[in-house]
Amino acid sequence: MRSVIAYATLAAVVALATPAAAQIDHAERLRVLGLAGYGRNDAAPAFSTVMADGRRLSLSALRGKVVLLTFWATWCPPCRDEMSVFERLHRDLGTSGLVVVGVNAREDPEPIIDYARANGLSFALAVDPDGKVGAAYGVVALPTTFVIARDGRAVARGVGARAWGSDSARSLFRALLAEDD
Amino acid sequence: MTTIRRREAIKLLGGAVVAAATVGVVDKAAALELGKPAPDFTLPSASSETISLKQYRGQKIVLVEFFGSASAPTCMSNVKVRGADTQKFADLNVQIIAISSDSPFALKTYADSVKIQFPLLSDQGLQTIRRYEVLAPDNVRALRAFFLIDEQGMLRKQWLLGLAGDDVVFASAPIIAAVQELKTKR
Repeated sequence: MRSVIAYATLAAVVALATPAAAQIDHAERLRVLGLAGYGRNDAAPAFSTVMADGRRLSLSALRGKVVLLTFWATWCPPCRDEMSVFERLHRDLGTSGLVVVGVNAREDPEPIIDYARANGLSFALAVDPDGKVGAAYGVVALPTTFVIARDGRAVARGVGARAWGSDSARSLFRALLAEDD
Repeated sequence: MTTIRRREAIKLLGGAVVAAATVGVVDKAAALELGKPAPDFTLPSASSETISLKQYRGQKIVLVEFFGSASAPTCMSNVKVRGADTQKFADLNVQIIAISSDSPFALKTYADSVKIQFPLLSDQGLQTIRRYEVLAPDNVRALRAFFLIDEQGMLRKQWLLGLAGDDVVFASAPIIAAVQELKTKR
């Protein structure tokens, strides 16, 4: 009987402690990556646009996925540095539910397609010819990148380049991928 | 980090700050009556606070800066000028507040980008923008405008830039001079 009570107590303690511990880990990951966090009720702004290859793309269609949304341009040197990192994440974690989306700032589809081909990019590249998607997210500097959870809530933002391929970043993505929708 | 349309913004800054500081066209006839209570507001900020004009009453002079959009280069340049001069205003006991119709989400990103130290408030419902009579003809954003409000909440000075040209970046000097004049009159 004593062992049953001890087990039940331990289970209760673990159940109570796990969310708080997860939050601490989460905050620590954001701190290490230099990312700003959002509140639990901050939804990522909805958007619908087209990709450089003409297919439609909307954030709502990505519900259930963890989305790494980066705003970039082919003329932006720090953005170019990050694109190969995003490609690796797409290839490594895509099948687990991470979707990488690059929203290009006001360029035509042709240079985006040329850049993707030249650099072997296979993740989703969207166009934003009138800047509406960027405006909804308040983007005025490139690169600016957002992390969005499976349930559509905004998790983090980084204005400027970040270590997206680091262990801390991958740990963040894995934690978010482990969440329920 | 690369600012979008940086070349355009630099061009605007280079020519327009000086022009705005020296041309008198920006100090137009009052849309709101000077010497009367400034319209109060309570709005969400980029830092997830709720800020009211009245919370500064009896404590600080308030400069309310309306800007059209966080994504517009000229608006960004205007807010950045106040950001660079924040300490000058603080030394005169002036609290700067900037208001636009952008969402709180957009303003959070914008605040990170421009690295300013004063509150950015979201007026998506346009109520405050309407009460200050600075709604742009497109009915979705504010005209660029500045309102100087004393410690008692009275409107003392206003500058309406909305029709002064899309490329006008307003320097802080005329506002600081008005603050000093306000203090001298007491």
